[in-house]
Amino acid sequence: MFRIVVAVLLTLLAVPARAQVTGSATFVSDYRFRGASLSDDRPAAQVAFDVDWPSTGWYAGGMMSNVRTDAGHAVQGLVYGGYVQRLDADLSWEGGVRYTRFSGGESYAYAEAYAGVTFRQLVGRLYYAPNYFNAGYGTWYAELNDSHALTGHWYVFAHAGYLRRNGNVADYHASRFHSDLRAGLGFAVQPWNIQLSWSTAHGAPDVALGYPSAADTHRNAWVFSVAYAW
Amino acid sequence: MKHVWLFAIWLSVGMAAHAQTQPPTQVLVMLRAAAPHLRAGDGYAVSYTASPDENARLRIAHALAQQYGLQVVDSWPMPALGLDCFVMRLAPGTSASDVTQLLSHDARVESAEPRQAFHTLAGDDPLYSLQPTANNWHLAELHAAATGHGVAIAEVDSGVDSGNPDLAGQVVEQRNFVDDSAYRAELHGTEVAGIIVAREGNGVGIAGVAPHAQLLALRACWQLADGSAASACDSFTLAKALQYALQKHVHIINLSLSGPDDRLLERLLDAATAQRIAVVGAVDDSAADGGFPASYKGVLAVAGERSTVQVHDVLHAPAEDIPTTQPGARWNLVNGSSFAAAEVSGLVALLRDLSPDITLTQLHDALHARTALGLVSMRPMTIDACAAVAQVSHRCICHCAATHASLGEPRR
Repeated sequence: MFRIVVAVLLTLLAVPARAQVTGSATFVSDYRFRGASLSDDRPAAQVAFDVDWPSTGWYAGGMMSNVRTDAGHAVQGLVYGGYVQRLDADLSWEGGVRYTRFSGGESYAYAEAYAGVTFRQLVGRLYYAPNYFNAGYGTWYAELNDSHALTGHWYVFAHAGYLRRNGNVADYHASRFHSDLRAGLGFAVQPWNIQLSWSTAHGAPDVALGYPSAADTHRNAWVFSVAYAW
Repeated sequence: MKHVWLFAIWLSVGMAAHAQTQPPTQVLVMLRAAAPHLRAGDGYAVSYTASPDENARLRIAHALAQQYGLQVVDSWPMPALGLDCFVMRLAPGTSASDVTQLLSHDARVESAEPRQAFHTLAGDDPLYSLQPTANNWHLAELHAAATGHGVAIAEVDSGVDSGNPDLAGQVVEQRNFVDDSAYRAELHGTEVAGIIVAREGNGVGIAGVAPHAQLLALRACWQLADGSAASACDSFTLAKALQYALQKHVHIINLSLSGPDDRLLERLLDAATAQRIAVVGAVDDSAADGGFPASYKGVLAVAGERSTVQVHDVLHAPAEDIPTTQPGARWNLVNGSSFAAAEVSGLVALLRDLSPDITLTQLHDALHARTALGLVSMRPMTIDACAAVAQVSHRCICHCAATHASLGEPRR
């Protein structure tokens, strides 16, 4: 699957005239995914690239990050591709898929489809992964993201997510629901983007959701990040 | 203090003219911007707001600039159009239209166009509303079709003051055929010149009927007294001026003067007609036949709208209370068929602008084009400028929307 997606991306990149390619490198004090730390509450480094074909609406990209899972150090790879259509100046919709896997003996590989609507700065998306983190059950995840510019280069942002896993949770004696919140302050001066945010999670434990988190990670954390784009 | 204000007016007029006549030195290059969408870090990293793709477009803009010899000087996102707009400066000597054409064929570019100068649509000539041609001839609508570009008009008259702000840059040549002294600015010549070519939209004075025509101010008459427009000419000075006009291959000769029949002048007028030069002559109301040269064959004879002179094919144009230029930075209201002739010379310049190859017969027919019903012989020949321009341009000129709605056909 990973090879197929990469091959598709390389094919698309063969049409460079209309493509807009962007890269970024990010240092983050705690790599948190939907409220769960994938870096054992420690810093992580990430590189990403995004490719747009604005005249067609198609887009694609990828990311790599170091992670600390229950099995120790690993590298995560992620690719995605989708289509976005602008309905008017403020409103657009999108749909796509993304695929991720981890290095090491346990890949946790899974694919996820998503659809979303953007109204100005407000973004809502719904994700479905039939085999979330290769744990054998499907998962729905809904998120809402918003941001507002402040004076100068400052802005505030917020994120709310709600996850529901399918399958039997009786073994975990826990809820099948999980929520996460994040809110923070950002400072963006191209090509730099600096953020400080508070992240918190509630509901089902990480292990009940298939996350490859290290044991005893915190559910609440301050997260600081510095990103450089080119 | 007065001089300071005059200098300020002159400076602003000059700068406005400079801005309007200068070709574009910058182009606008539009690059498509993708609609907001999920990115690699979303959900995994922390960049819920980042939109780093603008870096990609900036990179493309610089690549385009390097390829086409441009310099990126500014940019502005235009999300309403799904675009980023980049302002790029042209290299000296390059054409904006050529560059934009090349850019438009580049797959990275959504569109490109010259950075053009625009202006507001408020009346910018304070005396414009007083001009009879503004309303009666729908001058603004005529100017949407033509302004006299590329048309040379010889004004054979007394001296013209090209220092009047409304005439600055409008007079391409001044020649004195009266005597060997220096060229002199006088009332009548300046008044006639303003009606023909006064600058349009420059914030002062009036708008000429053909503001983009080129005026040759040929001084063949002289002012008789200070403060009076009354001027005198003779057949010799007029002949010299006409000869010069022929030599310069002008398109129109304006003769806002009258006198006895003169063979030399008739021959020169014949030569002008043979060269397809339109000769416009003012009708002398005190002469039974309208006076010479208005009465001469081939000359477009123009009288005031209230003139009772019975001259074959005479055209009637506004001749009373006409605002126009005077020497210095002055304007005043004038009366007389001299100024009616000047208006028609301007109108002929518009027709020439629209149809450079128009024959004198076609010109005559256009100036006599009518929209009203009735027999020609029963109606005074007040010029219908809209109909004349419509006939030459073959399209609707005035009140087009209303005419389409009510008649289903353009006004002619």
